[in-house]
Amino acid sequence: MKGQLLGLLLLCSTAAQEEIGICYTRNNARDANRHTVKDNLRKVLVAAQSVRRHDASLPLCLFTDLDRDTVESYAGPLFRHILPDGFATFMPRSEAEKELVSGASLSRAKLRSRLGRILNLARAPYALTLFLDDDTFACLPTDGATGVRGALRALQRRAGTKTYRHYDVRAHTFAKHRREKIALRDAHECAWALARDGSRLGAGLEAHCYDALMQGADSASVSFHFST
Amino acid sequence: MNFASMASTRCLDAIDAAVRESTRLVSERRRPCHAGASFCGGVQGGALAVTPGPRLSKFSEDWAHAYLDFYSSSKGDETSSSWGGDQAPLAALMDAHCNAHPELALPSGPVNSSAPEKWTVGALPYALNVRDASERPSDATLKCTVPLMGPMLVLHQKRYLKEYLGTRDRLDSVCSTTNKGYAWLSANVTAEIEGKRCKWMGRPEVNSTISTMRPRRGPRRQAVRTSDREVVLARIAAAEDLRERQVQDRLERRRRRKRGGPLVKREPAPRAASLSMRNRQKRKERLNMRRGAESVAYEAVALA
Repeated sequence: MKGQLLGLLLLCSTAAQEEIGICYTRNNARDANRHTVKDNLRKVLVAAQSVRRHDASLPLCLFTDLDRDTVESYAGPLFRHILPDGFATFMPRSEAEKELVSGASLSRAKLRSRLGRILNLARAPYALTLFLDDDTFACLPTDGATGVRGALRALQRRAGTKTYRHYDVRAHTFAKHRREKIALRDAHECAWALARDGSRLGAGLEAHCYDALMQGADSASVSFHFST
Repeated sequence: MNFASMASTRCLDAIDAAVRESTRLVSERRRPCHAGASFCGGVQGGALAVTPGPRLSKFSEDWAHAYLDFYSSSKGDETSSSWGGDQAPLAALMDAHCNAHPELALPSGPVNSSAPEKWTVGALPYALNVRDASERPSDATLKCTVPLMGPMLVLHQKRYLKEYLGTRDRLDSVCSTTNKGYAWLSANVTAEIEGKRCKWMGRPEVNSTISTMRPRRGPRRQAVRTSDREVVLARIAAAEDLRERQVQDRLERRRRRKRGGPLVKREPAPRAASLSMRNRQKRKERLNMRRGAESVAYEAVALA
């Protein structure tokens, strides 16, 4: 019984660890006047293929207002999940909002597109989802590094630990308060010190230092909680 | 109750606890309930790593409302290319959010972090969203202010994608050029670096620049020589001590409560110190470190 439970627990945790993926948004794909659907998808295909060429199994998803058949006719099986763009479910709170999101101009199309992208966040399909812009390009992993998957796994491991508190959203942050400035600045020193002690430089180490410093830990006292 | 039934009850309790524990672990993995101290100054929205849950949904909703409110109230010049940008509304939202929930700014994070409105924003490793590849040195040197603590993983630059769209080789060359800086950094982590290129690589053994730049006040003090390793070890020891003290305090409080003795008030959390106080504290810490270096070293050996 205990063995089964442990097995189940292991299975659950393994499955949870695997639930990482990258999502892109390409909405208004039929909306622009001057471009065909193929042109509109071009950037996002370059972005997604740059990940796929060195990681055959990392789940990729696309939020779009196109249907699955149309996307697959250009992208093949590149995206594991093709999901409807969030703007489709948007309910304006007032007449003014309704007016704001309507209109055929390019600026209004941009507004609808951004709004859809913001709303898509709430429907992230993976336990840890990295939302990337479509003007991104994944570099080939350097020797010994694990690429984007490794970085995401490191972030997800952090979310599962009890040692540090969890963040709902992670992004490149701008420092406003002194505490934030210190955390961003001292993270370099922390990562360097830990790397000198044998930890591997990388996204996991960097995130570890940001979290530790933001959460009041001493930059170096947390080295034992970090595993490479 | 006989021993057999007691044992079986205990066994069932253990299984029950194991199931509860497994459920708790899985649910924690899916939706961790402890939120960390949040950033308040806005983010670059080109790469966002998110974990689903009610707090993320609320974040998305709040951002959407802030975005619409921003352009409803001050539409600005709609023909401008910056019109419709979502960064400024998000920065305003994050600022207002931190003001509305001051505990988010505490290192311990929000008290009741299961509340959906208390979403938190943390820092993403720089390598997952590199926007300044073109401004980085093209040789194998390092940009000290914004270093890449690991190889560049995601290049994010409109300019490159406009110019090189479809030419992966060119984009790969941007990646490899930038990653030379990282390779240099990585190779030098353990080696002695001549002149210590960046400040954060550790200060020189005796900081001569400060003494030459500033007029000396009071009697000359003996220079403190501490290596990075000593600093690290002493901090570890201090943290271990603190943790130990906290555990002891907690146990003592519990014991007193059981005995029905007088309640011992928990000590208030230390207040944030000013910069000069912090510096003084750091200096003091280093002095103490030197004194306790031997014992710390023993502890480190034991821990290793």
